[in-house]
Amino acid sequence: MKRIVSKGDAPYYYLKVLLEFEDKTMAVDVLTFRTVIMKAMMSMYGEVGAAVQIDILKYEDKTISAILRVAGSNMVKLWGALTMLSYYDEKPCAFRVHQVSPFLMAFAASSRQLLLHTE
Amino acid sequence: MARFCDFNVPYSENTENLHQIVEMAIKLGYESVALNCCVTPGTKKGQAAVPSPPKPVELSQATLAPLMAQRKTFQQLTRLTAIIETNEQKYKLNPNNPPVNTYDILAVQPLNMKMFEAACHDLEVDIISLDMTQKLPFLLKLTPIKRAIARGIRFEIVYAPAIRDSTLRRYIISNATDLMTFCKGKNIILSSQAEKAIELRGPHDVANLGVLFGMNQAQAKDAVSVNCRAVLLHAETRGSAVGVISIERIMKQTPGVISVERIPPASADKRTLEKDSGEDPPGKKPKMTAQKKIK
Repeated sequence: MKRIVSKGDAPYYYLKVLLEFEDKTMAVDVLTFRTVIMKAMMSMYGEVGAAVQIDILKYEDKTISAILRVAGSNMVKLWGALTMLSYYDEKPCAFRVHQVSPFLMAFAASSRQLLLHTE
Repeated sequence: MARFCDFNVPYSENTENLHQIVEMAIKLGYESVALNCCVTPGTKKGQAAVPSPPKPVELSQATLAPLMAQRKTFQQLTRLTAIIETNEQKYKLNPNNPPVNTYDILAVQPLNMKMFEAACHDLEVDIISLDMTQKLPFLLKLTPIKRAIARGIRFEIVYAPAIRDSTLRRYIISNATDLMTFCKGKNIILSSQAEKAIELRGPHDVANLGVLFGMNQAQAKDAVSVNCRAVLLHAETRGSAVGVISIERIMKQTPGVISVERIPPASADKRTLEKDSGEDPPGKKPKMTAQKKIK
């Protein structure tokens, strides 16, 4: 077994996000999803923000959820921009950030919804 | 870990909308919300200055089920926010008045420097809320803010207006960072003031916003959890501060006999003395006088 020791800031951060529209019937494909994120970064940080490299590792269009990868130094920026997004195409929407982790493996389970089995 | 709280859900007569907001709060992982009543005391003649607190929203078992599965409970509180501009309005906010003391949390929103200083220095409140959606009508100063922090009062930053509109966002970010230079990230609570369910954000997202406003990670997380709990505790002590303390020194004179010597209070307060003598067990009094004579 290989042991990995991580020191300091992680090079990448991974975010598991879900885009929620007030109108539940909205269909969004991966390109539109990318535009939504770009617009969010653009409105919050301008051109410099829009230039931040964000990768969509996995996208599920049924639930409009995705796993994003971003450089560790830009994580707070991206997260803040996603939080502040309220409209896309004049339709009210919101990003729900389910999990944030420097390791992709961490998405196997969510510590926010841990259940204690005491019985 | 302290529970996540959102201490600013504006109360409205529109129960359908309110219900949606509270349900969304549960879904996002909040365990405590405060229904906020915003008033300007003394504007309408003949009416009570402060309305009675709102009733909690009735929730179905289905909404509470995910919380129950994690052995958590959901708490609904009431909060009064008074917008004060004059001294007269300030006095209407006496925490012992019947409609005011029925609320769980008491907050003020001062509109000028004089009221801001009064709120920081001597008003018995839990939260000072500033309207950050516009340019602040006065300059923030270190001295009153320091005093407020020493007294355990929290400052509130609301984030939903920032989500609603980009102009408001600009003002909120600038005012929040301004406040942060004085508070250094301490004694701040982040709350929503969401008018619609879609404007609400999860507690971790809000904590990240705190990082954008200039706090560090731990402080930002405290702003949605620990500091809110501190507000509640502060609110509880506010109600119980009407009391008298008596001090007794217990000395051992001879083995087996414990005598009680009374220390007269520095200011000979009549009420204190009366209460002291009233609490005395009748059997002990002669012993005490006897010992004084020996001395």
